[in-house]
Amino acid sequence: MAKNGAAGPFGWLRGFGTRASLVLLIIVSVALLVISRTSDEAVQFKAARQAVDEVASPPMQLIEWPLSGIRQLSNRLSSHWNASQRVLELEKENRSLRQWEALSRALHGKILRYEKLLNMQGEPLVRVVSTRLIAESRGPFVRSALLRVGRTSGVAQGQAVVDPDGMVGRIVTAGKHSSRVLMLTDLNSRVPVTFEGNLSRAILAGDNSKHPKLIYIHNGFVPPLGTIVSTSGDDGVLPGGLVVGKVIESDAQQNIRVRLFANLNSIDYVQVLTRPAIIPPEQETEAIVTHDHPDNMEVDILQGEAQ
Amino acid sequence: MSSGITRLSSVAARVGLIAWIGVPTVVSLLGLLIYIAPFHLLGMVIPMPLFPLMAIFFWAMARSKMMPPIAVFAIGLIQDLLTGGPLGLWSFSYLFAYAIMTTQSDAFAGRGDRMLWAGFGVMVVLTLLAAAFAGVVAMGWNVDGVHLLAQGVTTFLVYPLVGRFYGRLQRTTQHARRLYDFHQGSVI
Repeated sequence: MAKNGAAGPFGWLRGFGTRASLVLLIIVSVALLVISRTSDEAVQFKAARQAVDEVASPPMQLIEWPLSGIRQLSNRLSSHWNASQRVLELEKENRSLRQWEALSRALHGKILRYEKLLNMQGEPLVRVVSTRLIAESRGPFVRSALLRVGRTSGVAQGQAVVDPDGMVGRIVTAGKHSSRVLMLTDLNSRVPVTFEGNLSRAILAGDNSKHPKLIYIHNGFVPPLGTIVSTSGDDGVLPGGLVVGKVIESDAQQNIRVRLFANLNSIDYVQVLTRPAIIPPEQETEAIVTHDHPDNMEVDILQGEAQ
Repeated sequence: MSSGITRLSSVAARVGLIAWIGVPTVVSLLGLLIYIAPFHLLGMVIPMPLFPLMAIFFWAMARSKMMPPIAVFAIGLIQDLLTGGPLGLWSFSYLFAYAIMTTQSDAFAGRGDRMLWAGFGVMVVLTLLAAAFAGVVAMGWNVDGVHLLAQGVTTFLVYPLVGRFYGRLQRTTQHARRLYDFHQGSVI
């Protein structure tokens, strides 16, 4: 009785308020989910994601530090597990790579001479920013990771992220001091690729499985098993020729899957390939059009022909 | 002089009260940071337990006022933002399970550790079902069910250890709060 008296005539409102807020928040969550489904959610909430990533970056570095030690110890243990067999394999691989090195040096020299003869305007210089993963999301829904480099290091949206074995993913949001990389296996990942020994183009699409699939293959080309897949650079953001993986499943029904060269399960350090953005002609100001002016290039070509 | 001390003591008591209420949310967010830490052994990905879910369950059972719906929503939303997943996925899943569990808390709370653990098992199942449903709504049939299941199992198995830690933390903060209350009462 006394308890009821203490709660007062509006005591039921307290419980009602909690229940009402619970229902309201569930409705808000569902609304957010529907927005995620129906529109480009990444654009609408990009600022919020960037802000949270920036705030979480310093404490994540602290948490990641001891874990990095455990990871390195585990890698060392696994590499010692079968050391003598591994040494033999590496020696064999090294002999093969030496042959490839000699061949690639010869071809590189030849390409340089051809480019000079044609006055070829090559790809812009790519700068490499090395960094460590400080957080990752390998849950049932997303495949992404957080890097501790951002715009201050030249990192921008769309840039490629690689490890020593091959491409890992691309930058989807770049904050001031942190950035998020979307793995090639993520459902939302789409990367234009090409094939070794064939100029057909395709899109490498992630579907949250271990091996991403190839879609929209040009001219109905069916790549044989073992074909090396690399970036085509057709999107104007990623550099062309970055090795991605090889075809491990291929049939006439275009069910083609690729095993990535990069082992996404044990990534530690990665490199972001940064390069200056290509400014569309309509956005160029006269002030920056100096050396690469079309008239100047025409003169250069004519001079080349005269020589 | 005396009124100055009284005011200072009152401010300290309020700070203590806010800290006491904020502990579950802070612990949940710390658990979230551990959840997204890159952790793999011998080249294999270890499914990380859902530490925020453990904190939500523990305080929903122990003291639901310390874990109000808005805190559950915030924890879920921050998890969505930090993992880069569809917004609303984890906030919906946590709130759904929280809504059911808080109405059934009498069946599990205060009936021993094993019953509490069983209650947590129910909470894990409810959360994962809600997450799978929300995942299908947001992304179609591209949810990694095996990973979801593995995550549920690790979360369930790890809970007794983490729950014990939360219990100790709760007793410590409770003690601190009582000290503040006593101090405030003695000054006034």
